[in-house]
Amino acid sequence: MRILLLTFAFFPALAMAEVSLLTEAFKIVPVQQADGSVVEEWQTPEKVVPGDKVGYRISYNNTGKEAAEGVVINNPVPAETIYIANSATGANSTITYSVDGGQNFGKASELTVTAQGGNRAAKAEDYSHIRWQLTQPVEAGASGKVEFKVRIK
Amino acid sequence: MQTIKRTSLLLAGMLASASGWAATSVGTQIENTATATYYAPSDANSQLTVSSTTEFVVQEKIDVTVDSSNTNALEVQAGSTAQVIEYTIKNTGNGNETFDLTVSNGTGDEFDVSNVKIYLDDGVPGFQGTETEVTNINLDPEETAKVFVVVDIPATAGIDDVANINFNVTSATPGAATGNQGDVLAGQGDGGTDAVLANNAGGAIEGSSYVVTSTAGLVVIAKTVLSTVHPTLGAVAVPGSVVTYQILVQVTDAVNNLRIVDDLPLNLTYNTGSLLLANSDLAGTELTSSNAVANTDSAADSDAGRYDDNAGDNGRVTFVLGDQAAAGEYTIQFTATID
Repeated sequence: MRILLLTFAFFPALAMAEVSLLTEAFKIVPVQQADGSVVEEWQTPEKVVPGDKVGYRISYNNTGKEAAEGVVINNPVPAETIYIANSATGANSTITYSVDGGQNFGKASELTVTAQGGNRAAKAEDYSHIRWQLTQPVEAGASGKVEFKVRIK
Repeated sequence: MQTIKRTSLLLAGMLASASGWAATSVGTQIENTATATYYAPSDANSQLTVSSTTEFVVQEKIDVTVDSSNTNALEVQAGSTAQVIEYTIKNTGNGNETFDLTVSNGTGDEFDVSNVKIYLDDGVPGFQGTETEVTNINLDPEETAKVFVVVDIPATAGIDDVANINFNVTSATPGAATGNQGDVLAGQGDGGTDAVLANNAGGAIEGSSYVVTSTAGLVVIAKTVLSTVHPTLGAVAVPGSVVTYQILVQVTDAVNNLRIVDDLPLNLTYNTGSLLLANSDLAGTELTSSNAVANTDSAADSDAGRYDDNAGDNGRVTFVLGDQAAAGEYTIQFTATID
């Protein structure tokens, strides 16, 4: 009886969506291919030095039994790094950026910063946060990923 | 198309890195934390998930730039000394680093500079000659230093002749000098990190040139004392010591009636029959009858050398070298004994 009650009490939680996140960092190394072209490889982040490119992959996974709706992933641009323009990707997502520490978000073309008494269009190096708003619910058991790249100052 | 796009991104990245950010200090831990908000249809209250933080430690990057104050060739006079080119060295890496400083002769030029020395700027503008000579320099990240490379220009250099040098700044970290860009020197970074070599194996090279815009005059003469030796006491200048003089004659262009005259100082007695003449630059090497030609003291013969005891205050050595059709060099030697 007691067991039954406990089970009942936790039932709503189990029924809900349960999204987990995993963040991974990679050192991005341009590797020349046999045909002379250069392809970027994502490698384990060892021996990272200033000027190197680092890629971040944020994987999400809905381990619950219900779809997760209105999923918004936020990621501050890590300290001592600069966001690389147009590097954020994510399927079925609207990507916006913040230049004010994550208070307001907008598309890259809409953002401005105040500089020398006037406003100018924001550059990638001005971004403090990146946001992915998923346009589709994440179904139970479904997973996906978003990515972005930075350069170490 | 894909390749082109990627290449342009790489280029954009290089520009960004060159845009003057202070390099992240060695040992800095870079963390990233993503958060996600979402809701379930059955519960309007949003939930929050925090990811595990991912982190890595920034290693030491050995990188340096060097720039010269002379973007064009330095205009010099042949035979001039202490010609100065100023270089600014900046540690653009992210750790403290010692850099070795060397100067090497470049190629594709007409002559080499000589007597090369490197001095550290003492803060007083310009080169005074009182600065400290250095062979290496220690710099913190973003720190700059100014050094002077000081050289002599040979008297034999002609108009429009060019000398190229390379000023080499090389990381003194073990393995760097023989390394390549991208090499990892395990454990050689500050604080036990690894060190990674940036462009030019963590070094930098700045090429500079000297161009001769005026000659030294057609003939340059340098007189030196090769040795002063006493027959029993050795290398001391005491009465009885024999002083060996050398005169290097550098003819830089055609001249006529060349005559070298040298009056002996007082308190010396010319050693009879000690005149020697070589048709090349042997300055610093003792002349003998095997590498030079003995000339008699007499003026009445066909050789160039002569000694006149009655000329000057204390005798005079004269070499009548005559017409010189082209540039050339002579070394003259004679000895005298201290009275």
